Amino acid sequence: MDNISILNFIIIGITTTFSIGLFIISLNSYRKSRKKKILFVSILLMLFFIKSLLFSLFLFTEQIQNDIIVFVLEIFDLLILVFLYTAVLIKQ
Amino acid sequence: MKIKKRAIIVFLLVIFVIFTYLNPLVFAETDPDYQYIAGQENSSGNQQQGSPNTDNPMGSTGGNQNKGNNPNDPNQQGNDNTNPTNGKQYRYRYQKRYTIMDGAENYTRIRSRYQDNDAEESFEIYFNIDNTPTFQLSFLPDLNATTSQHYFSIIIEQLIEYNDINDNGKYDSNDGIASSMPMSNVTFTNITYTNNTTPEGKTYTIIETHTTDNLFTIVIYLVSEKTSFLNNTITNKEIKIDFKIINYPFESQTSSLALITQIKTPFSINPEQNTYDEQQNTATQESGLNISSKDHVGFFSWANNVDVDNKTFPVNVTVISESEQIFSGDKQEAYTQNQVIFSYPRGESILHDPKIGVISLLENVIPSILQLEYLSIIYLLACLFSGIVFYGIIYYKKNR
Repeated sequence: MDNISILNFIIIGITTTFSIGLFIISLNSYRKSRKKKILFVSILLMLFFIKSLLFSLFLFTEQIQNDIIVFVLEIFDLLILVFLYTAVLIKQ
Repeated sequence: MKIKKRAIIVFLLVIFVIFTYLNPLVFAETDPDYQYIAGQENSSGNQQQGSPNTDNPMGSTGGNQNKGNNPNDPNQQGNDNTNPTNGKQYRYRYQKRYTIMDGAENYTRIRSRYQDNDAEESFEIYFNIDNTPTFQLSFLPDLNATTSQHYFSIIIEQLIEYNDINDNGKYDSNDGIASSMPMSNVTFTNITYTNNTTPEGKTYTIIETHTTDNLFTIVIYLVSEKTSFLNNTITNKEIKIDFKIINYPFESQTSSLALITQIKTPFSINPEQNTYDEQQNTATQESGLNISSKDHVGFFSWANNVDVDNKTFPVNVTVISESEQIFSGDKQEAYTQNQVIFSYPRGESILHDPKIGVISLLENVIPSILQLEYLSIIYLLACLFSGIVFYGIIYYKKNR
């Protein structure tokens, strides 16, 4: 077990939490606003959360190789979510 | 405010549910035989951890039969460790902090301990020449244990001269045998023990025996810590063996030699192109077999090249597996026999060096046996931490 593998677990953990958090927020926003745009964002985030969850499960069960490629992919996912999070929070 | 509280409760519940269902899945899916995950080299550092076995690392532990000279002095020549009071019997004892070797003229028992984190492992390699030269690797609860778990045996069965009829460069069932030398039919000289020192001041022990006609020699190199000598690096988790074949009396003009060895173990054997030592950067150009059980991994590896008349050639190795089911009373035991055949190019002087050792499961970044639990905790902490950060930022934004 190397450091990259441990980092993968940390990043996928953060990604999973952020995706479910954003999904809950967007669902609440949709309930209040009933805007279709937000509904789509909610669905996107739900899918993102499911994907992260499955990814975690596959990593634990060693069905995918836990290496540098996973690490890079997860970094991209995390960055996308961070930007989405920032976009949701910024007013205007 | 109510919606916010509900959101937090739902969020925490979801995380809780995820982990309740995820953990049993994780443990159910784990292959119990999968023990080794490649990691970073840190063996030499770890050997120095933990409490010493004895106050004086070179000191005697008693029971030594040598009286005239100090057998525990690694700088003393092994050949001098003959005890005339014991008649033809003599014993040689060598002790370092984590390695004990006890040897006589017909056997050598090497015990080694390695320590990582708070756990330790000990193993024993028992070499004897009473009948056929045999190496036995066992695992022990500690260095001084009286009971051991037999793990695998390597029997040096015979040397054969064969005519490579199908010209595939290796001995197989289609080839004709011109002559053979079963090791059970030859007499080996008494095992000798010699200590040497590297330019860095590290000692290594050479354990040697050969057939009375000097045709086949087995040399074992033993170290008590990671030591480099003669273009090799070995650790106290393994022994290096040299097989030397000098002046084999060939009966045919075009024949070659093959050395047949046999591995017996109740555990699973997996071929490895990239050996443990290669992963640890202590060796190159090796292949081998890993013998894996639930708790341990041992190995038998060999150099991909052989020196024949001072030239290097690739060695062809054939592994033939055969499984046995033994029924005794109401007990049933499954045994695997693997014949490992080293086919060497023809030459007057052949030198090949295999290794026997154990793979440390505990020397990676985290203990292997705790990896899943450890990773689950890391994952959970990452989720918890990011959840706090996530909520903290929202809370801060709303109350600003």
